[in-house]
Parts: sequence; structure tokens; C-alpha cells
Amino acid sequence: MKGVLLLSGGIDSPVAGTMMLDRGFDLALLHMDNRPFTDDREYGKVLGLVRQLAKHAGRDLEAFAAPHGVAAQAIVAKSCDRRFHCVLCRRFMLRTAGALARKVGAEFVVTGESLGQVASQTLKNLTSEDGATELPILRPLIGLDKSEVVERARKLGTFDVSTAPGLCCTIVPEKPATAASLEKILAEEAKLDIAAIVAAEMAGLRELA
Amino acid sequence: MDFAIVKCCSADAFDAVPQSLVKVDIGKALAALVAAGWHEVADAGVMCVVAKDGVEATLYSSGRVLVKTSDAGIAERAVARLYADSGL
Repeated sequence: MKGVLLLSGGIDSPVAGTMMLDRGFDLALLHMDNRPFTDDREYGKVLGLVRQLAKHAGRDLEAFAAPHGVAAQAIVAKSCDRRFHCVLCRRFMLRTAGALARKVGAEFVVTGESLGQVASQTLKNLTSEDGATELPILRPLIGLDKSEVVERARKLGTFDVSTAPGLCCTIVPEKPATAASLEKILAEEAKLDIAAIVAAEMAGLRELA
Repeated sequence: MDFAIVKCCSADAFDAVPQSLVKVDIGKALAALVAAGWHEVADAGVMCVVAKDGVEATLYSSGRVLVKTSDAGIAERAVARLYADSGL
């Protein structure tokens, strides 16, 4: 079985990916390129992590980047209540991952989320993310503490790449909602042309060498 | 405009904040910046990303400016120029 891994330049998602690879699943890697709301070095980290994951798998893995910053982030920030930005952002990532899954024959989406780690990863917010794609969303790290994830990343050799200098997301709101109800999220999404945004992300999809 | 500027600890970037309280109308500021020769990279309503002479900067409605460079002198000059060109 094959899944699409949402791969950032951070510590968590590469660990989630290797856990799935170790269970024998195949993965296509999808990075949601957040530039200009991050920097080129953050993008470079992702290229390094793709190589690390391929090395761990012992084979090349399909890897893609979608222009999330340009196609989605600016529009969401301009159109929607800022408090819900992170959940809305995640839902677009999941939608595009679902669209890629259909393209590459994958049956599920994998994320590096763990419960309570950041504002977008509260139980309420994770629940509100679900349903953005019809595919199952697997979260191998959901019950792990950050220290456990860091320990695994060190063992895998991804920690040094993930913690190299890079600009974190610059479009996060000052006060993100930690308990965004699905009702409120859907009301915000009603202000957006969801299909057009996902289509733009897929149109800008490129393979990572 | 007087401002304080610090290096971001984990990125090749500098963060500047005005010494006085300001509220920036991003739409107006962006129009002024483009008229002054800055290139619009992104307009997110509550913030905008602009570039000039190879330096990219993000202007927030609070007046905060994030400049993507590892050079303190370049960052300081870019912030001063951006504030002046945006009419702040």
C-alpha cells in the first residue's frame, strides 16, 4: 500500500515517514512549498530530507513540491479570520495531498502531527482538519512527546538536517485558534474558491530531484 | 522612522520593529512601495512581501519588518529604505 507523506523541513514529518516505511508501506513525498512565507534554506532542508528518506528506504521515492505559499497562503490570509489560518492551511495541504494521492495511486495521507504539540495540533483542531480529504489521515506520531520524536530523528540521522538554519512560517497569526470548530472552519472556507486553490497547487506541482 | 533590529536566531534574517506604535495600512503601503520601485512578491492583506536589489522583506501591519539576509548592514539599510518608501 502507498501513502502520501506531507513532508516539511522540520523534525516530525521525516520521522513519521520512516515509521511508515519501516512498516513496509510505500510513500510519495509531498512538500508544501511555503515560499515567500519562508526562505530558500528551509526549502533546501526538504531536499536533504528527501535524500535521507530515500536512503532509509533503500530506493528512490517519488517526491513533489506544491506552491502552497503562492497558491493558498496569501489568499487565505487575505480572505479569512486570522485566528483560523493554521487549520485552514492544514486543510489545503490535506486536500492537495489527496489530489496527489489520486495521481500516484496512493490510498492514505501521512502527517507528522502529534497531539498538543503546537496550536494547530490540539484535538479540536485535528478533528476540524479531518474530512478535508476523503482519504484516511495517518498520524504515526500522535501520542509521542517531542523528546521521543527528537530521539528517533537523531537515530535516523534526520535531526541535523531538520534543525539546520531556516526561516519558520512567517504568515502564522499572532493568536491562532486552539479550538476551531468545524462549523467555523467551513464558514471561513465558504469565502474561498477551494477548487481553484487546489487546482493552482496541483498545476504548480513539480518533481523534486 | 526609528527602529530596533535583531538577528533571527535560527535563520538568515533580521527582524525590525518600530520604536513607536504604528498601524500600517498594507494596501496603501504596498502601493507606495511599488511606486518607489519595490517588486511585489506577495500581498496577503495583513502583510506583504516585497523585494528590491535582491533583498526580500516582509512588512506586517504592526510595522514589523522581516528581512531575508545574513548581512546586518544590508538589513538595516533595507528596513530604513522600506519605511521611507512606504511613507511610514
